[in-house]
Amino acid sequence: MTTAPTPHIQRRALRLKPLHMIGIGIIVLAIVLGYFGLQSSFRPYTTSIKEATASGRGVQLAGFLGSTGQYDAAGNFTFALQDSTGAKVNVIYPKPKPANFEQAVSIVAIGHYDAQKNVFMADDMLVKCPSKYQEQMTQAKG
Amino acid sequence: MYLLGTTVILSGLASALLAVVSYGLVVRGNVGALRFGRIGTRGALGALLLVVALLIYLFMWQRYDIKYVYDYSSADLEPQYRFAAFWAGQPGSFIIWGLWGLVAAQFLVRRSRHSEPYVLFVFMLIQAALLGYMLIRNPFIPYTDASGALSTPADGKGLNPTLHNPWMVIHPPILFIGYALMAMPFSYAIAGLWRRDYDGWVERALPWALSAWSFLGLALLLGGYWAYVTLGWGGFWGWDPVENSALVPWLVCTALIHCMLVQRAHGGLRRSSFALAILAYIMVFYATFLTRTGVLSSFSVHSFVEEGLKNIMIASLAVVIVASVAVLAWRWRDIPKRPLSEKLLSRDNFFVLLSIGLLVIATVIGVGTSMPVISAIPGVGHELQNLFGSAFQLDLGNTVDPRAPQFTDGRFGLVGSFYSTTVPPLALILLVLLVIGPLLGWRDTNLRHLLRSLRWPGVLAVIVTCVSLVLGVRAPLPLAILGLGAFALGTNVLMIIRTLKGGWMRIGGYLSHVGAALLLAGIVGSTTYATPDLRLSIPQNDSLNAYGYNFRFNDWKMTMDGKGVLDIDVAKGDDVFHAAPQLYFNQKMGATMATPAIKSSMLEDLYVSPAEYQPPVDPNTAILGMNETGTIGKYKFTFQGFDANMSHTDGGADVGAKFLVRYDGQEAQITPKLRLVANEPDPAKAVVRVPVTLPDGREVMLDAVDPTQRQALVRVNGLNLPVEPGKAVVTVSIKPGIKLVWLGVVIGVLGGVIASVRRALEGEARLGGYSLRVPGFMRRRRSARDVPALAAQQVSE
Repeated sequence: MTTAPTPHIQRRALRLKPLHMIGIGIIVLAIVLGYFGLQSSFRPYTTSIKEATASGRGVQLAGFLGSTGQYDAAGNFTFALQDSTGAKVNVIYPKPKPANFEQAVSIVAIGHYDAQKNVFMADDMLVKCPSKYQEQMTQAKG
Repeated sequence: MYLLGTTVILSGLASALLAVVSYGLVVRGNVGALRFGRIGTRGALGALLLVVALLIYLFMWQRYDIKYVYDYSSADLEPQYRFAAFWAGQPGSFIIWGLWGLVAAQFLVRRSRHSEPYVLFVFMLIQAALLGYMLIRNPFIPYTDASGALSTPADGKGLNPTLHNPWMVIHPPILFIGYALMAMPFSYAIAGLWRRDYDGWVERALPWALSAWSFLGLALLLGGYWAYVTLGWGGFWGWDPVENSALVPWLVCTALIHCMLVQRAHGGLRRSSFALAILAYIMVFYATFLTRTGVLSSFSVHSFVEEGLKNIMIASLAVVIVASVAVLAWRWRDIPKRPLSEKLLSRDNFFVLLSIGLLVIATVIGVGTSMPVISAIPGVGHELQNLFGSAFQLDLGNTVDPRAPQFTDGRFGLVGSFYSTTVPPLALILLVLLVIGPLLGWRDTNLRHLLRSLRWPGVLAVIVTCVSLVLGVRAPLPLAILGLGAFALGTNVLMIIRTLKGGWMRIGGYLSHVGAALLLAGIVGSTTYATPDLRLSIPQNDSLNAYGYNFRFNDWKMTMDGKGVLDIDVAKGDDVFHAAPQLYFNQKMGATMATPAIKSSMLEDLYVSPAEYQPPVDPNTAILGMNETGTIGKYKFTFQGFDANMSHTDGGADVGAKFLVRYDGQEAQITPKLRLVANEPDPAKAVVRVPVTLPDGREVMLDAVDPTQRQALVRVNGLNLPVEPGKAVVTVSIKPGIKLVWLGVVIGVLGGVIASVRRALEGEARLGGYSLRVPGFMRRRRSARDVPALAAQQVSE
C-alpha cells in the first residue's frame, strides 16, 4: 500500500476527474468573486484631506473633529473633519450620530469625496474614544 | 502579593517545562522520566489553579492595591460581575486560556498510552508559552500612583457597563475553551508525524476537534448575540476583524473534521488532515496576533491597544508556523497515500469538495481581514495599490482620476461589501453539497436510491421556494439559499430519522447540518430582508408610525439602577409593547451608553436602537457661556461674567451674573442674582432668585449658574413662548427570521457535542481493543469497524 508504484499514480493524476474539475471550479469562482469584491470594497487609508479630495476614490480618511455635529434638513448627520495640517472638509453621514461622537479622539470616515457638492460622503465611521474600556471589549471578543 | 503571585506563575512555568523536558527524555528512551512528565503536567495545573484562586481572592476582596483589580473592578459592582472582572482584561484572559488547556492536558495523562509523551511534549510546550505570556502581562503588578509610589486607591476604575451582561460574562471563557482545545488536534498531529503514526492520531484527536469546534461555535454565537442585544449595532455580525479572526479557525476546523472523517473511514486525505490540524491552530494564534497587538487599530470599530506583546507574539507565531510546517515537510513523502473514490457521487468526493469550499471561504475572509496588515509591510502596500489600480478600476465607479497622486500611507482595508460579495455565493455551493452529501455512501452510490431519497426533501424545497416567492423574495441568490436550505434541511432530517435506528449518538453530524441550513436561512432573512434602518425623531407625548407600528415617546427617565431610558410605547393594534432602549451618559466611563430594545416574536424582531435624546427647548430661557450671545424673544443677551462684587447680606450670599441686553435699539446692563440662604430648613427656599426689571418692564431672572463650566441660565418672565418638546431619535428596523440564526447555531453546536461524545467513546472502545503498535494496524482497524458502533449503541441504550 505504502509503496504503490509511482507511474500508476502519475497516470491517475493526469486524468482530470469530475472531482478535480469541480474543485478547480470552486477556486476559480472564489477568485472571480474576490475580484468583484475588491473592486467594490478597496479603501486606501489616508490621514490627508488633500489626498482624499484629490483622488475622489473611496478611502478611509482618518482625522479629528473639526466642528460640532448636527443633523441637516434631510436628516443626515454632518460635521467638519480636520486633519493634522489643519485642512477641513465637511462630512455627510446618512445615519444617526455615532455613539460617543463628542468624545472622539480620532474619527475614521469611510467613503468618498464628492467634488460637485464639495463634501465627503461617508458610508461608515469608526469613532475612536480615549476610554480604556474599548480595550476590554476587544479582549473579551478576540 | 506580587512576589507570591509571580512565584506561583514561575513555578507553573517550571512545572510545564519539567513536563516538556521529561516527556522529551521519554521519547529518547528514558522511560523513568515519564513520572516527572506527569508530575509536571499535574503541577502546572496546580500552580495555575493557585493563580486563579489568588486572583479570585484579590477581586472578591477588592484589593485595589493590585493594578489589575484597580483597572477592572470597583466597589459598586455586583458580586457576580466582581468575579467576572477577573477575565475582563488581557492578563486574566491568558489565565483562563491556560487554565482550560491544562485541564484538558490532564485527560491525556495515563490515558493516551503510547502517544502520551509525544502529545504532551507538544501540548505542554504551548502551555509553557502561555504561562510565559502570563509572566509578561503579570496580573499581580501592584498599583502605583502618578509619581510611581506604591499606594492603595479607595476604589477601582470599574468595569465597562457593556460587560454588565450575562452573555458577555460567559463569552470569553467559552471562547478560550475553544482556543485551548484547538491545541489538541494540533499536538496530536505533530505527535503523529513525529512517531510516524499517520492514522491513530485521528482517532484520538477527532473528539477534541469536535469539542473545540462546538465551543468555538458557541462562542461566536454568544458574541453575536451580545452585539445584537446590547450594542445596538443592529446586527449580530459586522465583518469586523475581531469577528472574522475568530471565524477563520472555526471554518478551518470544520474542514479538518470532515477530512478526519474521510481518513477514519478508509484512510484517504492523510496529508490534508495533518495540514488542516496545523493550519487550524496557526489560525488561532494568528487571530490572537491580530486582536492583541494593535496592528488593526485604524481599521476596526474596536480600538486595539498595543500591550507590549507585539514582538513576542510575532515571534511565537513565526515559531509555530516554521516548526509545524517543517515537521510536516519532513514526513510529507513518508505519509502513505490512499486514492479517493473514482465516483463523484460518493461521500469522500463530497467531503473533499466541502473542505475546498470551506477553505476557500476561510481564505477569502482571512486574506480580506489581513489586508491592513499585509499592506502595512513597507513597500507592499504601494505595490499592491498600483497593481490593483492598473489591473482594474478600483472604485465606486464614477469619479476615478487615474492621474491622482499616490497615497502616502500605503495601507488599505476592505469594507464589508467585500465579504458580502464573496461569501454568500460560496456558501451556496456548500449548501448544494449539504443537500446530496449526507445521502451518499463512502465510495459509491446507487443513483436510483439517491433520487428516491431526494423525493420528499425536494418537495419541501419546492414548497419553501414557492412560499418565499409569495412572501416577496425575488433576488436569485437569497431565493436559492432559502430553497436549497430547505432541501438540505430535508435530506439531513431524513438521515437523522434513518440513523436514529442505530442509536441517537450517531445523529450528531446530521444535526449540525440541520443547524447550518437553518443558520443560512436565518442570515438571509435577517440581513437581506431586514427593513432598512428608519430614523424616527419622535416629539415627546407624540407618536409616529413606521412599519405598521405606532411609536409613542413618553419621556426620558432614569431607572432605579441609574440608567437613562427612552420610555416608548410601541403599539400594533391592541398589542402594546413597552420599549425602553437605554441611552445615557456614563460619568465614570465618560461615554454614552446605548442599548437597543427588541420586541421579539416567532417570525421577526422589531429592533429599536436609540440614537439621541434632544431635551425640551424652552425659548423663554437661554444657557450662555462666557461672552456668548443668545436670543430670548426680541431680547439679545450677552453673558459677561459672574459678578465679583457680591453684596453679602446677613445669613446669605448673592451670586450675580452680568448681562448686556439689547432690544429695540436699546442697550441695558443688568445683573440678576441668585441669593443663597444659609441654614434654611426648607430646600425650596434655600435659593432665592432676585429678578431685575428691564426699562420696558420685563422681568429677567437668573435661573441657575454652573461656575465650573462658566455658564448661566437666564429667563425672561411673561413672554410665555411655547416650549419645544423633547425628542427621541431612534432607528427602527424589522428583522425577519433572526430566531433561525440563534436556533441554527444552537442545533449545530448540539450536534457537535453529541458527535464529540460519540467519537470519544469510540476512541475508548478502540483503545481497549488492541495495542496501537501492532503492525498491520490499518487492516485490523478496518475489520474492527463495527466495534465502536456497538459500543455507541450500548451507551445509547
